Amino acid sequence: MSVLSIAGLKKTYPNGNEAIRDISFEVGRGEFVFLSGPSGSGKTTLIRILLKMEESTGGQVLVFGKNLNALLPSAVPYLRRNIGVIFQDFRLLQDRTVFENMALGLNILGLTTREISRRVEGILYDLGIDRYAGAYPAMLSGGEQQRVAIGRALVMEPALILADEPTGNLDWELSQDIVRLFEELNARGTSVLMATHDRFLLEAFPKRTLLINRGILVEDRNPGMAATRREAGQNRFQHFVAGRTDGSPA
Amino acid sequence: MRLVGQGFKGLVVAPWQTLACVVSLGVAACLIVLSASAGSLTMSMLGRASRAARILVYLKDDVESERIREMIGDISRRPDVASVEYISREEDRTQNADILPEGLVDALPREAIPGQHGLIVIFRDDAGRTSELDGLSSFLEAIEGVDIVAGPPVGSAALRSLAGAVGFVRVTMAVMAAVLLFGTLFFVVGTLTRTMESRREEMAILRLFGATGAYLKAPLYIQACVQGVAGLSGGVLMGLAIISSTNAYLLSELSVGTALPSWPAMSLAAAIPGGIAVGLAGAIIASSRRLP
Repeated sequence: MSVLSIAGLKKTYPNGNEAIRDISFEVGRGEFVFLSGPSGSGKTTLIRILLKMEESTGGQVLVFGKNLNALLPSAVPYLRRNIGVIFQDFRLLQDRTVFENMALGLNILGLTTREISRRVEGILYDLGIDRYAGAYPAMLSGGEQQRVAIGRALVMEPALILADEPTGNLDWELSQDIVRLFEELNARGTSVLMATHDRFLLEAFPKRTLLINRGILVEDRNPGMAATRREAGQNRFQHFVAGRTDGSPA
Repeated sequence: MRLVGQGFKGLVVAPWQTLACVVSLGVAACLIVLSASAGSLTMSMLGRASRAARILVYLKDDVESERIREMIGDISRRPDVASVEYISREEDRTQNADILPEGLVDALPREAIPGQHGLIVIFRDDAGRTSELDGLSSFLEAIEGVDIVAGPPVGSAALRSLAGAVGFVRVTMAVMAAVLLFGTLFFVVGTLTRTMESRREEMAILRLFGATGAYLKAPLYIQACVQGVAGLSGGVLMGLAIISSTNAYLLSELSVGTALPSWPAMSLAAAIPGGIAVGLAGAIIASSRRLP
């Protein structure tokens, strides 16, 4: 069963701005997919729609087989508990320690203090930041803060991770570390959809890549299989990577 | 327990605003208690004034029943008389015994306690008509067979005026309390809004991680209820303290004769659901406007 199934997705804002014009794709269970495209191409809007932070204006979105258009508002929190979200700007609470930041989501699940400690300490150790448990985010480097943000998502034991430009604020080495971390998670069965416009990352980690431009899925490239051309005769991906991205090694 | 902890933490997000909110609620509750007490005192004073408006007309011993019926008819026809009742010697004796010290009544033979038959004339209830009251007394004294007309209730008009003044104060305080309670709702909403603003980022993250609306709102509701209960309970205690200290002055200096009533257990018991209700109202308004 697909974790994500999107067909003919559209999103038009009240001011007439068409953020997403036509996107259709599927992400299978245990798959790692890059979502790429220039700034303003619709990557973040797509992720927000998948999280039901925004409503689509057309098409169908199934997340874990559930149609988001028909999902009751009361059911949305329970859907989100299966999705780990990671942002470019980390979104850590500066007045909470690393441990408290990571435990934030677990409190919602009503776990015991002992279970919360067990899960958080385990993830802190796995991510190599266990020595920072009592530190505040401002005391950490960007890479360490992003690890905390990733840890905060992982403690929820999600079936799907949505990462919106998680390496956008990190240097090349740290960016690779983060993608390797996602690979490890993916190897354990977690599906990953990671938005990035860093062409070097895409080259360094050849995986299925969805290229979006101006709200349209222009290419669905899978290095393991023959490229799927959405539009015959076009190779917009190469054109886009060569001319529009600004990602470069630090 | 974590949600309760969050609720208490919310109280110190905007401490001065929280304090202003609790104090306002306290003043409102205090005014409500004082208003209720003053209202009860007013009713009590009006009751006394009404009783004082009775004129006791003692009749000579030899007045026959037929004549008494005629007298009742004559007096009842006056427009300033509400009713006339006959009181027998024994009933008068019993009433007199009631106002004598208990030990003395027991020591005296029954016949030693004075008792005289007569009429109780109840003046039509209308404060300030002292001249008519004097006219009635003169009329009664002139009737054949009347022995003594117990003096007109000179204190009645004054008592009724005082009761009117207390009643006015009571209504004023009730209106002020209502306005203050309404105004305090904005304080409650304001403090909760500040709390939500300070937790906006946290709430947005919690939402993304699957927090339900109820989970996010619970600390706000707890905070609001704590504010409400603390404010109203404090106000009730303040009101009771004021009543207690005022009573000494009323009884000794003003010689009002009736203390301001208070209902400590009932007032405090009412402050808790009242505080919760005010808090919930504020929380509902605040959370419906501001949740991210």
